[in-house]
Amino acid sequence: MTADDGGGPADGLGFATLLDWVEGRLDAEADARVAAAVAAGDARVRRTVEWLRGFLGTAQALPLHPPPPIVGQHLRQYFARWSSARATLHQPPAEHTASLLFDSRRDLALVGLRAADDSDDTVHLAFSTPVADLVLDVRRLDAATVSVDGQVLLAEPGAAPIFEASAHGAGGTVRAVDGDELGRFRLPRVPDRVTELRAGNGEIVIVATVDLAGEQR
Amino acid sequence: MHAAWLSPAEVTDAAGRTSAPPQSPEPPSASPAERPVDRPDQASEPADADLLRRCRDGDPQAWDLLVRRYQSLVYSVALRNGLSSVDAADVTQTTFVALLDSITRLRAGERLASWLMTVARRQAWRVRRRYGQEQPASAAVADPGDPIADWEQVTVVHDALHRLGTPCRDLLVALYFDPTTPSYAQVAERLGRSIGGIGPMRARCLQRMRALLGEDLHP
Repeated sequence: MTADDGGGPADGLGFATLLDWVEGRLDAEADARVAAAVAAGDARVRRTVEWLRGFLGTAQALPLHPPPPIVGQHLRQYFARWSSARATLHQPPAEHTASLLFDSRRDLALVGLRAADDSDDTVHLAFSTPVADLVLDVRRLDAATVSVDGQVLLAEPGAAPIFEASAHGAGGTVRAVDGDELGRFRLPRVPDRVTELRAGNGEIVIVATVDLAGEQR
Repeated sequence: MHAAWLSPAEVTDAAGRTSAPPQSPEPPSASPAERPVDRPDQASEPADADLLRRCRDGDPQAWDLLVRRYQSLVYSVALRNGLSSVDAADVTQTTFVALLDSITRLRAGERLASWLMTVARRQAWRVRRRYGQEQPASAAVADPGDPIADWEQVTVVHDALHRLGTPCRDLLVALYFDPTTPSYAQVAERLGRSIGGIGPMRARCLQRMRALLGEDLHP
């Protein structure tokens, strides 16, 4: 039998010796001596032996086999896709500031034309960005409120077609989430003092500076 | 450094024979066997919580390390629950995918070993149930009953094993959990340690395990 582990008990049955005995690593003479000592041993020795047998039994209950290497490769690939998707998820949609192409209040007057029906006071606005055009029909509801029917005409046919719209300014925001697959949306009641209209599909946001009040101001 | 250095109290050779230690005084850092065992090697061994945080930030090296740390455990739980190696590989992947899905919801201090083991076990049950539904009884995977009699104790031991950190975890895994039952010489070579240090180191590492687990471990 060996000297016991540092600071071990006087009977020599320290943790290391009991471990050797439980694992059957002692020679026959030492083994018999420890067996006799364990049989006559105190509660401390019994607890240590039981703990060691418990640990070894638990280890044998679940031996650790390495998985085939393809598992690690698949998991690396999956993580790359997962983190890439998360990066995309956290990317805000690209904003495109629209420039005014056409305002019926101004452009028809310039060429001396009015709408065919004089009773129709709908204002037509058209804006352009590199990725989409935005057209708006603005109808007056009362002295301070208009309705806006809009449509986004995408340059890329594969882009997400449904847009939500919001009008900003005049101390608040009006949103509409009823866009359809043709890029159309409707803001049924909007204060005519709003200054900005935004239309987004999750990938892009078109931002147009608008003047909906016209001559009413 | 005091108690952190291995004391050459006992030397056990590859054949398992134990002998008296050499009497010469220990040099402070002469061989790998004399490296500290009383605390994890922080430089090369980031904690699970740190790896999870880095994974959330998209660090692929942290993910690799986490997978390497736990893949054998997850795979072995699936195997032990009666799955073929092919199905166990699938369950391993599914379990780690579940970890990614839950990575933002895992509580700080979550015991990852038992979390993964529990998910893998459930996934293995699902596979077995699916086989039971899809195949005639004669062809279905045999129900192994409850292959791990004391699941609670097994999960507690694996949690403690991972809290132990390196080098103790690597040593205990090599000595007690490796199904190929490598010799001390093979373990010493694998871990880059002297063969004479393996025996005493294992006793010290098991004492640390006992300190982590407490007395409540039964045969």
